[in-house]
Amino acid sequence: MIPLWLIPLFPLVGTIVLAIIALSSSDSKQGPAESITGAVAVLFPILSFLSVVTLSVGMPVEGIRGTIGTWIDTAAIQVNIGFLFDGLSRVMLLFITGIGSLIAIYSVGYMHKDRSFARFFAYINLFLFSMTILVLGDSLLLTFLGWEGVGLCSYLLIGFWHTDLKNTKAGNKAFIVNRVGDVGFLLGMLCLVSIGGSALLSYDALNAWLLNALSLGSISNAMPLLSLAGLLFFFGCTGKSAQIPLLTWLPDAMAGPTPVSALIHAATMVTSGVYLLARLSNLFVLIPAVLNIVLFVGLLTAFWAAIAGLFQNDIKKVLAYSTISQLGYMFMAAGVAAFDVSIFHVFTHAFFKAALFLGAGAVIHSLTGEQDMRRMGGLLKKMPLTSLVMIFGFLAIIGFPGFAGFWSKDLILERLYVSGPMGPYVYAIALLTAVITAVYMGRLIIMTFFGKYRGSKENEAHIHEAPASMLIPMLLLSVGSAFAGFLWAGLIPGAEFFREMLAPVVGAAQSYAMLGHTAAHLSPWIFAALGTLAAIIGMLIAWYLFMRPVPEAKGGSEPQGFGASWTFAFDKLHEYVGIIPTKVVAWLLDVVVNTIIMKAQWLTGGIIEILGDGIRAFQVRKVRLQAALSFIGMALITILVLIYGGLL
Amino acid sequence: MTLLNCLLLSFILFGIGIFGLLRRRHLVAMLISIEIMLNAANMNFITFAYFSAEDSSAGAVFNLFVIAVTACEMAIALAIVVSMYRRRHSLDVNELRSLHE
Amino acid sequence: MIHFLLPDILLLFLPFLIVTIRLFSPKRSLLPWYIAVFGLSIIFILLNCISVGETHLFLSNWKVDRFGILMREFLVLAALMGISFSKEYFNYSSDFTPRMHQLSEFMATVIMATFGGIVVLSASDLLTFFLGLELATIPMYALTAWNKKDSIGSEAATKYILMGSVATAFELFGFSYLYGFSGSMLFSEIAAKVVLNPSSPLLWISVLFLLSGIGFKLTLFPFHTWAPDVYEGAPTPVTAILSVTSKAVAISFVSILVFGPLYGIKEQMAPFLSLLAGITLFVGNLGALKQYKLRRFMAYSSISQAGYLLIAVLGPFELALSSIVYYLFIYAFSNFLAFFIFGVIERNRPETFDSLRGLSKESPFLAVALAIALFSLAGIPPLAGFLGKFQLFYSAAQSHHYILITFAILNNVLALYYYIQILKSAWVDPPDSSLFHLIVNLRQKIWIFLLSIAILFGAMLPFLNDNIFRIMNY
Repeated sequence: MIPLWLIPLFPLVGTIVLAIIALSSSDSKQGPAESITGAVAVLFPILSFLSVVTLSVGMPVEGIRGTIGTWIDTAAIQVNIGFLFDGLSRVMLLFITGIGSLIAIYSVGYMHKDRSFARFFAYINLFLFSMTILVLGDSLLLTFLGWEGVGLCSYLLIGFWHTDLKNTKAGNKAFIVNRVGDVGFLLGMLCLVSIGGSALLSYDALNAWLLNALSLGSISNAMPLLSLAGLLFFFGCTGKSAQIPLLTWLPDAMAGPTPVSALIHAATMVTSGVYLLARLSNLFVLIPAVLNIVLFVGLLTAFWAAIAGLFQNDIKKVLAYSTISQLGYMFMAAGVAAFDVSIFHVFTHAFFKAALFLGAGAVIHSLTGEQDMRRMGGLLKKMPLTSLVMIFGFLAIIGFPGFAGFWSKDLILERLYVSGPMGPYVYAIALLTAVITAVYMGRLIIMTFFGKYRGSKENEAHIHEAPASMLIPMLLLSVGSAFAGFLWAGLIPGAEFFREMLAPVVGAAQSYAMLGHTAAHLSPWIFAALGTLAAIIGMLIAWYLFMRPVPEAKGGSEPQGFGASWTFAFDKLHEYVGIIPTKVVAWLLDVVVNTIIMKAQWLTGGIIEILGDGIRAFQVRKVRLQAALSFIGMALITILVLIYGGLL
Repeated sequence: MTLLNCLLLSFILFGIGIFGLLRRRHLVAMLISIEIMLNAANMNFITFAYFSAEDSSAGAVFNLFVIAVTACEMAIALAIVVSMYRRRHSLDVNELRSLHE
Repeated sequence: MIHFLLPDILLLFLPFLIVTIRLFSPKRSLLPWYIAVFGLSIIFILLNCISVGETHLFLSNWKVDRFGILMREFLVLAALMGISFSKEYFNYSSDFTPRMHQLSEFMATVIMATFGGIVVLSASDLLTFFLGLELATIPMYALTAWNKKDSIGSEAATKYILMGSVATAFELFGFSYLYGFSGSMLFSEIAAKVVLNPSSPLLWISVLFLLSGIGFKLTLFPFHTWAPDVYEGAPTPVTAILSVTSKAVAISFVSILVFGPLYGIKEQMAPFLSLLAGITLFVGNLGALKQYKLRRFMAYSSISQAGYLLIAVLGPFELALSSIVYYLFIYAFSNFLAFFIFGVIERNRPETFDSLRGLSKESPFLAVALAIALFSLAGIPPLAGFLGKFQLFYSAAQSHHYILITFAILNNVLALYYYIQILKSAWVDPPDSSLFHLIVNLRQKIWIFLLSIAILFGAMLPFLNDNIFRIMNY
């Protein structure tokens, strides 16, 4: 059995090697040799993936635990650096390192001839390191370390082309909004520590404590703090997973290179919020009120983002909003305590969304950076393989029967109806969202691949299929988006591999949550049929609406009119709730308080200067005068003593 | 001859020492003034030893030690005075003013 | 375990050994130098081996207690640093610093002064106390006048011996009244009498004279006027030794007095002590503000440090003494580090702030070490100086001297200002091309490195601090 710490170690070594390469070549004009750098960049994620696979094969049901050493050892907090490899982290690690490796291979082609080639891969490896730490950590603190690490990498990679002000602004926005969420995470940990000490930061200890408190009945005392902790953790998740209210950063994050969008802002990092909910499932099922909040936040987010997706002209922005919308689905599933289903959707979503992003990246790559869909069209014939990948991803995301998204989305919808509060209504809205999903995704496919080419002539000349290093990962991912769903095909009896894998981790929590519910009497086939119907209706609407000449693109790709006010609603909200009050406080501090302090400083400084001059003039050189002054001083002290002693 | 008279005498001696230190500009004269101050203290020890102390031998012994220590101190002081004189050919302390900021 | 008297005896014989060997060795032999360094190191190690549990007594009045052992370690270490620092000045001369002669005698004199400090610490009666103080002071006069050819040095020595003798006279006068008041020389009997009769005029007159006398030695306001002149005029190594050893002996004198014979009236003395401390550190800080000569600046800086040290005396017994010892260690490290750097500078440059210009470009090593030393003296948080000051303030806070502490902390801001002025010359001001190139030899490098490390880790590692507190609260 290989040790657990190998999994994060490989990307870490990769980071260091690549950082050395990047730094040592920083003075040269050419940059490092791409072949060696690319090989190193791909090697370490693949090694990490292979060690995950090796570990997965022989994993016992209760998981593998390994402790490296003590991280923090103070009177207040003791934390070990320990790793936990169980069903949940296995699934997450498999697709994180797997898709991470594929995207690293893809990036070698995509980042070809970029001056900062090595720097890019150093960041990617650092990201994989942080992400594996996040998933593998056996305590909240270690997860938080990874959580911050992925946030940092996201910031670095969004602003990767930092010579463009727009990109750095997007990076700043992502970082700051994420920090707001991180405050929630930190305060949540603080709540747990104040309930039961720092031991509760460890997942195992937390679960044991909850179980113990539940059986003793002493849980009700801790309930207010536990609910607060859950709410705060969820707030942290909304930051990282781009849910209402902290979702505005994700569309802007598309400023980064497309492989980054695929890896970080679609497949892995943004799902860490869902991971945290599943990891803390034992805590969340005890606080149903918070779970309801999760459910409705997810529902609102999914619906809002689907509508916003309709208005986008930038191909990556459409995908960004669809990511937000799909994350909403995952949160909905978590909100009805169907954690295994939400992780399953994370899993399938990783495949088809990565495929879609990589396909979009290939399109952008061949159009030399053009991202506006109104300047595309008719690419089906020119890039058949890319189109195929994109269409596979499209069919998966809208839930076309058989494809990955069908199975996971179908399960989510079913659970919403069966076990959610106000089940049928929530189900209806979620189904409507599915229809809209099909519409905006159909719009994307139609505008990109069908019709006539509408872009510039010079771009048309060299539209080409992507190179092999980009195509192979895309094709592999499209295979995944076609077949990944069969790991848990609800309609096929016995195809429940995925559920069984997660059962040791979240099973107990889910059965506790289901205690009061009676099983639904509806056949799963009805849900499947309704879901399929939604997808087909959405496709038809898209066909009817968008298979017509597209108006010529004018200005930027930003949506106009109602679309703009819908899209930027939450930016406006942030403006009023967060930014303007902060600016007012900053102005107060800067102008009012600072002025007073400055004046006081000048005054004190002036007095001190004068006194210093006085003392300087007081430096006598004649020794007799020195002695005389001392005697005078002594006389003064004598008088003081006499007065104080009451003798005078 | 009472305790108070003797104390007063030594106090006056001390004052004379301080006065001489401040008044005289000649280095050796200043050193003599300091010697007077030290002897005023010696006077005190003898006085207390004679009149009031339980442990009267201690005061007397202290005196001898003080005289020895003072001799050392004065030896060094005079050595410094001599080296001063060699440098400057003057023993006026008011000329000791080359040290300043 | 070794006998508690062994280090003291060795230290007493070391100067004679050095001088004797000097007589019988060739003229430029380094043997006495090695003997001194080796001997002091051995004594330092032996001191660490003495059991600290109980108070050892020899012939009923040579006392070796916990504070005594810690301070012995400090004094021996300071002497070691002092002679290492002095070595350079016997090797070369320049336009600005004449070469010194008779290294062996110099070292013997330094060690004699150190032994004087140890006598002060061991005293349990007034006579020993007085003799120790004189033995610590008289060698200092000789050291100040070491350069016979240097008229500035003789002038400084004259001022020093005049003021120092006056101080001796005051102390002696104070002792005589204390003897008259109690009728005994023994600390224990004096302490008993003080408790019985705390408001006797005789006692208070004696306290007054003692405070004035020690005020001279500790450079308290208004008795500090000699210090800048003497510090500036004396040879640089003597200035360094003066500012560390002599100050340490003076503060131990005060603390032995306050926690020994005069413990009964400590509460009544507190207002005067705090007044003296407050004014002293204020005056020291203000005086340093406008200086441009390095050593005159260090004189004012050490005046204000004396004020800080006096603050701790106000606290309760064990806390006060342990914080004083700890602060002295830190202070000695920082001060010697600064002096080592100034020593490098003044080898071929005038000793003013302007000579530091462009130091960060020319020698980043020295510039960083200087920053460490000065920030430590100023008490900037991660460095040892901060912890030392914190302990001093904590000690005083135990006796509720909050106003004084607030005042001292405000003064710290002032101190930061002038320490940063030096650093500004070293780091910000443009280089001056007319300055000669700096020469740093290996010994200086090693010491600068060691002392920087000691300051950096003195605060981070609890070793020194914990050890002192463990010993004091045995």
